[in-house]
Amino acid sequence: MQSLDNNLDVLLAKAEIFSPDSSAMLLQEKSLARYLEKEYRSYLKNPISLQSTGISTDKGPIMDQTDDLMKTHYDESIELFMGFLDTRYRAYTMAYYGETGDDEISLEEAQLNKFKLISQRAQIKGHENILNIGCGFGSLETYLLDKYPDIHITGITPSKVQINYLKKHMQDRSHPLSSGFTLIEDVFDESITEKLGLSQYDLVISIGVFEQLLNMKAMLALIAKLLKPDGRTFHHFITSQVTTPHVRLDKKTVIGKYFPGGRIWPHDEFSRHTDHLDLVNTWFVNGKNYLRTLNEWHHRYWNSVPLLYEKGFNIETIKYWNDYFLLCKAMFSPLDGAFYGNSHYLFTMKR
Amino acid sequence: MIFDKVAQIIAKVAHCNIQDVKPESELTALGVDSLKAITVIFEIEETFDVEIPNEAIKSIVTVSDILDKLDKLINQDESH
Repeated sequence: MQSLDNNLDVLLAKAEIFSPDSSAMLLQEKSLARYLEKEYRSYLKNPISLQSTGISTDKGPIMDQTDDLMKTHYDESIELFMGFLDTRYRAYTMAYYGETGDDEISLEEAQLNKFKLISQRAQIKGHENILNIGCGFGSLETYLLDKYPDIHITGITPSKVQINYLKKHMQDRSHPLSSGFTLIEDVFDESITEKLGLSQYDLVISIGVFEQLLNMKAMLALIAKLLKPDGRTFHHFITSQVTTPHVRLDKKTVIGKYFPGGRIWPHDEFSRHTDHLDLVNTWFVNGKNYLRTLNEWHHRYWNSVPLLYEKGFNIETIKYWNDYFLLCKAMFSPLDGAFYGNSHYLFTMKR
Repeated sequence: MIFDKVAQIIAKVAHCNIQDVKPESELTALGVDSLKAITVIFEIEETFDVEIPNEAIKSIVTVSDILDKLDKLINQDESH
């Protein structure tokens, strides 16, 4: 690991900010994981219904608190994200280390494997017109455009930091984003049909976005309007095995302060919404994959701390993000990744 | 004996002076926030080979509260 300069080292130690491999950090991670494991076991032992949490899946806006979410999280400085994400795809979602999450591969290879898995499950053939809701730094676009010259992909994001990054790379002729990619700078709601048109897409996809979904019914109705008559839709997002009392990520919860307005839905919930589309298949991807991804991000983040400090990150902000990786790792690690993981869903238009 | 070990754990996790850890001390006053409380309980579980339920953690305010719970768990174990 890169050593931190002395002055910064002292400041970090004083603020009790520890490296991912330090004994203090490993102890915190282990103790939090044990605490959460006890919680998860109680959720499995005493199941509750989603209704009992007072959360509906077919009322209100499609997504909420987008401005707060961008400000709190996605519009943090570009140096932060470039410091910890993989160097090729800049993918800010779980990488795939194999079915059990144990493959000995790099983050870059695991992100590539994630896109291969998604392409296979979403049945991408290489000539489609695709809409990607919440395109991030264009990671899926980079993978698909690199592989399939005939594909066209439209990405939507409201994040200013992501838009700046995407625009820069769209102008770089050597980058896959320079051709076959359309950027829509907006939030995804019912008014988006004015920009996108109706029945235009072979595939509507999202990766790591529906954690912000509030109204599943309205979302799938809107997607059905955007799809061609033989179109399909694929989604990848974090889920739990069963409903927990913490479906809603409000700012009082440890993870919710990083993702205001979010939800962690139980795996089975999304597949129940077949009013507008037919469910083809669902899959659960073991949370060890996210644990491995977060651990790699955490180490890269730690190595980038001197640069971030130089760029103006204060000690409090450094701690805020260091704690973020710790908390997320502890969330996915219990029960060998079987409780929290990512779910995949494939639907087609009704025939 | 039990108190000494608990005090050592709290001082280590909270980075506070062991002399400041007294039965009546409130954990927050010693610098034990909610995250550190979880670590303290983990270390206690490891040291005394007991399992403290999560619900019990929520009602712990002072060092005495830990000692009471620990005492019950150890006695319970011995009676089995």
